[in-house]
Amino acid sequence: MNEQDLREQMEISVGTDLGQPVVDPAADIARGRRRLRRRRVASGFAAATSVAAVAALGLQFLPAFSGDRTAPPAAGQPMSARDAATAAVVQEVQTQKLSTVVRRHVDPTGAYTVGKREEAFTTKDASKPLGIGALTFTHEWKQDGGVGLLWVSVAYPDHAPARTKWCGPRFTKDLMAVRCFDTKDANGRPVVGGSAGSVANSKGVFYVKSGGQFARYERPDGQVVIIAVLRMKSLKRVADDLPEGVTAPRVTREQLYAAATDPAMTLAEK
Amino acid sequence: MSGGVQRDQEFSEFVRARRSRLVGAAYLLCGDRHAAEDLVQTALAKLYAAWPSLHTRGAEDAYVRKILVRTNIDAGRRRWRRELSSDQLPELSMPGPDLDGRDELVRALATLGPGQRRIVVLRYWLDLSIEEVAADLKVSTGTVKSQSSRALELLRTRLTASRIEELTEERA
Repeated sequence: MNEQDLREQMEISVGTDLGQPVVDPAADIARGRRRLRRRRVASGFAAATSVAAVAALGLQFLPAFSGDRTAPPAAGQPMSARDAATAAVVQEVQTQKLSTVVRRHVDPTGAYTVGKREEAFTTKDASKPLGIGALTFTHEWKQDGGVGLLWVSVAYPDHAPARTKWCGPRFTKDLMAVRCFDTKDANGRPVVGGSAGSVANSKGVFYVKSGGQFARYERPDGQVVIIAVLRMKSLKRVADDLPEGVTAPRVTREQLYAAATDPAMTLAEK
Repeated sequence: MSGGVQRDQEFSEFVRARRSRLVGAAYLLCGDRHAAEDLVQTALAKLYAAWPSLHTRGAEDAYVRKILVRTNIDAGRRRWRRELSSDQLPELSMPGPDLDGRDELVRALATLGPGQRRIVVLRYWLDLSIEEVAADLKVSTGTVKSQSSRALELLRTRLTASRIEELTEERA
């Protein structure tokens, strides 16, 4: 068999096996349009979901996501290098303390939070005991070959996202669903828990278990604790395919409630 | 003429001119007529979505070929994704691919390595030059030449063996 024989044989084989082809450009155009629509929706959705996730997770500390580890001082109140160093130490001490408490409840065997702690950022408020109005930090959650996110926030009431903001608005299944369940702690104080969100990939596929769970607790001293374990590590991943085999984070709502209601989850001197 | 109408018209012309050739290429690549149709549908849908920028550069053919080849590779890699887990065994054995219903050349092509098969299809079915195949597959022209020659040799051997087998069966 030479090259020409192969060419001829291919023509015969394809002709025999496939028969007379049906060429219908209209059907291909319709499929192309659907794909184009999905792509536009997905790119719009990625932006919308990022915004929704930011709102739903109470990520009011956006500067940290742009790389700043502390919120800038208010205009007209420049922070000295010494103040900045002190603030960084306070932030680190508080973060370590809170991280230890949370991980003791949600990951008692240390199986999932083996990766690095990532972001830690504060909102400054000179009127508060530590000069911190809110502290938020994240930690990698490694499970089943994928990387998710442990997200923790402790904030004074005037810096905390309201319950209504946390639990709503409700989106359709094509966007992001945040369901809330109300319960009470041993002292009758409200605890809110629920699914932290669901995402779609760039093809518009809806992943039922792509989100995670959260708990929100208003402490007796008024501080609000929010803890979430999410399947996705970064909001940038919203538009990507989620890795196969990564299941919902192995954390129960009870574990999250226990962590959120732990008396040590507070921004205090000790 | 509006942009959308123009896009549809240009795309339709492209589909009419190339579709059957592309389906043939996909079939020779994957050896399954349904998968081939899926491959081409996917490739053309992607092409439609990217049409304006590609058409301006005259890059439609290269783009759709690339998608076809890559999607075929991806489909091979991700075959397991289509499998659904179940706690029950099927009562009947599942039929495998219909190898016997296919032309002997397609069966012989299926025995080649994926790289060789791609080179054969691009060179001898889509009539690309050695340089074009090399550029499409991001390999050297030397690789295209050597793999083409090896693939031809393998096909020659397998088709001959198959023919001998057929004759033996007929006599028996």
